[in-house]
Amino acid sequence: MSAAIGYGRRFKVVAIVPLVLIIGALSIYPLIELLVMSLGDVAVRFGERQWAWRGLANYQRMFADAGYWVAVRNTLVYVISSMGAEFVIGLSLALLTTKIRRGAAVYRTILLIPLLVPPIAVATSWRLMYNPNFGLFNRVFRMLSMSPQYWLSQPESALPAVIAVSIWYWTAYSFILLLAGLQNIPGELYESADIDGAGAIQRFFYITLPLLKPAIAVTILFRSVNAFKVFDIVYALTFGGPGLSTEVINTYVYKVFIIHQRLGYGASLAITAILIVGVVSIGYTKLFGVERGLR
Amino acid sequence: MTRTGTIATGRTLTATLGSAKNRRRIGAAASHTVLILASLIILIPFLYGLWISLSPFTDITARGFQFNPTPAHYEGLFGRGSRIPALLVNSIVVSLAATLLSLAIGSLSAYAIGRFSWSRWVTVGILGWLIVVQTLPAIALVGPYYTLARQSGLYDTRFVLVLVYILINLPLVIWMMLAYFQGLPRELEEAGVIDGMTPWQIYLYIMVPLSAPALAASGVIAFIFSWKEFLMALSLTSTPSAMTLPVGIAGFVQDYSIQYGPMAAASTIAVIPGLLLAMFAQRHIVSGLTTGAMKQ
Repeated sequence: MSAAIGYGRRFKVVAIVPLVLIIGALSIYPLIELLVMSLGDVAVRFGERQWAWRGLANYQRMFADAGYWVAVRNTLVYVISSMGAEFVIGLSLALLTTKIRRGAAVYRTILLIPLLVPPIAVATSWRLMYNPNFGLFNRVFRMLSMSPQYWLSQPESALPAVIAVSIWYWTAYSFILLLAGLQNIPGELYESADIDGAGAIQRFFYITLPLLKPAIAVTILFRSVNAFKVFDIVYALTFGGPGLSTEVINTYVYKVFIIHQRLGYGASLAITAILIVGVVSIGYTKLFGVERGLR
Repeated sequence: MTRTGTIATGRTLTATLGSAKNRRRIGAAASHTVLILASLIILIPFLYGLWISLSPFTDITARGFQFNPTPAHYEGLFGRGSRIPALLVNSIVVSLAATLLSLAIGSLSAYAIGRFSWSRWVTVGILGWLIVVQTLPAIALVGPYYTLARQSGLYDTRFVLVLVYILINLPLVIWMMLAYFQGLPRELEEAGVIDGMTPWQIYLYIMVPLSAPALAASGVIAFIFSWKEFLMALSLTSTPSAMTLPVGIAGFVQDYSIQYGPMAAASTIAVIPGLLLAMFAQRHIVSGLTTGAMKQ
């Protein structure tokens, strides 16, 4: 409370107006629009939107749309594998970083770089590395007398190949969050553990892990929510192919909206996607007690 | 505490070499090795991309490895008929505008929310909705944005991209500035009030200068997110009047062939802001990512 009751009453309201306008116009209104769109057949012709009521027909079509559910399944596989691997690698790297005296900043800088560049910009390199004929990986495979793979052009290996790139790209995110969490653990705890004769494994399980729980919860929650939004990496590497093997929710819905121009149907898919992400997020929050852990 | 002559009895290497100091040295050396390995894994695709951008097509597809650098791909990017320069300008303009506006609006809103009294509904409502916006898959907004943009004639304009990017960046900016403002002592505003300053003056002349570090951190992150954004730009633009660089790079992938050289050259250019910011603003970025996460 500032100096006087009612201080700054006009200021605070005026200050909030731009935010409210933007939120209203760019998130609340479009979401209502999305809901309305999902209940009809929508098309935009000559700058005008045409909407015809269809009730729940779009949603009925969605349940029968095998492609969409393949995309959902692929997305779940992607989220879990990518996040799991990034967590393990990120945690290991973070632990190692706490062991060195100098150079932590340099490693952090380098590991950060992928996060700061457009995914499409690393797609060229990765596509070429995965190229069956003259790519880096197959050259190495041939040198080791192993049979060259078709990586991105083969349904079985395409999704893992995309996930590998994602892990390469996103590990720094977990790394940074977990490192920050580790650095928040007071050194005295480790010193008294040493005095008590605790070994490295005991230190990890009785000091590090429990105190790291809030950071772990936050890292997993944030990265998962983030991972559901995957689009750029898949678009850049395979755009969902071959077939449906790397199709994820966002690429599928994008195709329905922009390429097939089925705006009403796409809207119902998008609403379902929101519900899926919402349920997962709420589930996580309850599971990890994130709010309790952080207060 | 060294133990000599006990190697043959099968003690562990570290116990044999002895002192805690040596163990720490080995631990550090091993850690460095792994970290260097990780760093190489991160850097190789970038170096490979750089090599591609400087090599003639025959080198790219050849068996062995050669380095015959040629600026041909880069010259092509900036030569006649190339739309890359226009896309580059769009990316810079849109990212800068979105960053400055998100900072202006976000900082002001965070100050108003954090330092003035509100009914609980308002704060929970606004902050809660910001979380929803952040969690929302962008695809949910692509449909309505596309429809509304086409209807209103804003489709394929830089203006619409700036608006969208402001929305995307506002949550993080507000979280960061909110945390920062709430950490400042009340005496600052009280001193201003005593001096007869209006709330606007207090905000502009005291709060903003003081919050420079937080502004820098959120600004850097907002810029990066705007620069690398792809889905919205792809969906809402179609010509070089508003198209951004990432979308342009994707355009090098044609149905039956990929123009690796020019694509790699454009990609290398797209990497530069991120590279520079990683080198010079690393602290800000890390602070931005961790605060954004922790404070929720």
